[in-house]
Amino acid sequence: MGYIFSIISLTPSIHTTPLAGFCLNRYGNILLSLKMNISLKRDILYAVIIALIASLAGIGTDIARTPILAALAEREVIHPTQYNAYKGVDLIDNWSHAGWPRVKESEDNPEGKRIKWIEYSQLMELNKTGEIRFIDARVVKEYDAGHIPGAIPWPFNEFLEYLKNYQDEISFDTPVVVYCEGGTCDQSISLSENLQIVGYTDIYLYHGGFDEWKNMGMPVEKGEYE
Amino acid sequence: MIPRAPDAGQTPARSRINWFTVAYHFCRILIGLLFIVASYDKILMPWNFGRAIYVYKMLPGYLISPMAASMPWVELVAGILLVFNRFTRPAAMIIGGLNIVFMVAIATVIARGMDIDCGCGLDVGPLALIVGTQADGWALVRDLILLGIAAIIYFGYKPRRG
Repeated sequence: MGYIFSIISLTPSIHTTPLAGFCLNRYGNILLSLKMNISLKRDILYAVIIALIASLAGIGTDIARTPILAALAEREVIHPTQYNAYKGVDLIDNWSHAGWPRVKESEDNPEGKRIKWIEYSQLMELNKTGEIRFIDARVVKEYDAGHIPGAIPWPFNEFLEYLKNYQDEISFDTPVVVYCEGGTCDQSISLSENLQIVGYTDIYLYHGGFDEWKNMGMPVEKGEYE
Repeated sequence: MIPRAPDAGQTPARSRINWFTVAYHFCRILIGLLFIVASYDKILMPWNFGRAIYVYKMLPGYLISPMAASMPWVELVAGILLVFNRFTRPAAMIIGGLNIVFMVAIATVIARGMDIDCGCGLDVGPLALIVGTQADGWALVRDLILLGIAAIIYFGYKPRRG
C-alpha cells in the first residue's frame, strides 16, 4: 500500500490545496483504496490463486475420501460403521467420479442393487405398472397431515421399529419409491440406504418429494395409516 | 513506513476511536465466521450440497460434483483468511464473487418461479430460523447485504502497520 501512497504523494496537485491534504490524511485509507488500479490486478491474481488452491484441495479431498476411509476401516482405525456411513453415498451412485446425480440405467444396474434416483416423469411411468409401493420417510405427524395416496409411513428415525411391522407385508423384491418433503430433505436418502442394507433390492428415490407431487396437482391423502 | 503528506500532522484524528475501523474489523470477523460455518456441512457432506446445486437446474451433471466438492473449500479458506486478516482483499473479493454467483442463481430461480431450498449452508440450528432456508427474495437481500459487507472490507482494508 505504501508505494501507491508515495505515487499519489508525488502528484503535486494534491498538496497545493490544504483541503486535499486534509482529506488524504483523514480519509486516506478510503481514498487510497479507491485509487488502487495498480493493486487491483494483484488482488485478482491472489484471489484466483487462493480459489484455485482451495478448489483443488476440495476436489482432492473428495476423490481421496472413500479409499482413505476404506483403508482406515480395514486397519480398524475407525469403526466399520463410520465407513459405511460414507460408503452409503457410494451406493447411491459413484457421484464423485461419474457425475451427479444420475439415474442408473438397467444395463448399468444389472442386479438392481443401487438406489435409483427418479424424476417426476419417470415416477409416472413407474406408477403405470401398478406394482410400486410408496414409502413416506417423514415423521408420522407430517405423514398424517398429507401424503401420496397409498403411501406407508416409515419414519426415517424409527427404521428398525417399523421394519418389524412391514417386513412380512412388503417383500424384499417389491419396487419401493421413497420420498420425503422434497427439495433438499434428507430423510428419504437415509431411509433408502437403510432399506438397502437390510436387503431391499428395488429402491427408487423420488427426490422431488411430496412438494413436487402436490405442485403437479396430484391427489393427496390425509389421515393415519391403518 | 507510509510516507506522510506534508500537512499530515495538523489533524488530531489518530487519538480518537475510529469507528470505521471498529466496524471494519467487526464486519471482517463476522463474515469470515459466517462463511466458515456455512462451509462446514457442505465439506462434511458434499453430496447434500451437490443435490442443492442440482435442484437449481443450472449446471450440467458433470459439473455438479466438482462444484459441490470445491466451492465449500473456497468459502472455508476465504473465511479463515478474513478472520485472521491475511490476504484480506483477495479473500473479500472471493466472498463478493461467490455472493454475486449466488445472487444470479437465486434471481434466475425466482424468475423461473421455482420454489426450492437455498442450499446456502446456513440451515444449522437457530440460524435457519433467523435467515430462512428458501431460495427466495429474502435470500437475495441477504446476499446483497453480504456483498455490501464484502465491499466494505475490500475498500476499507487497512494495511497492518509495522
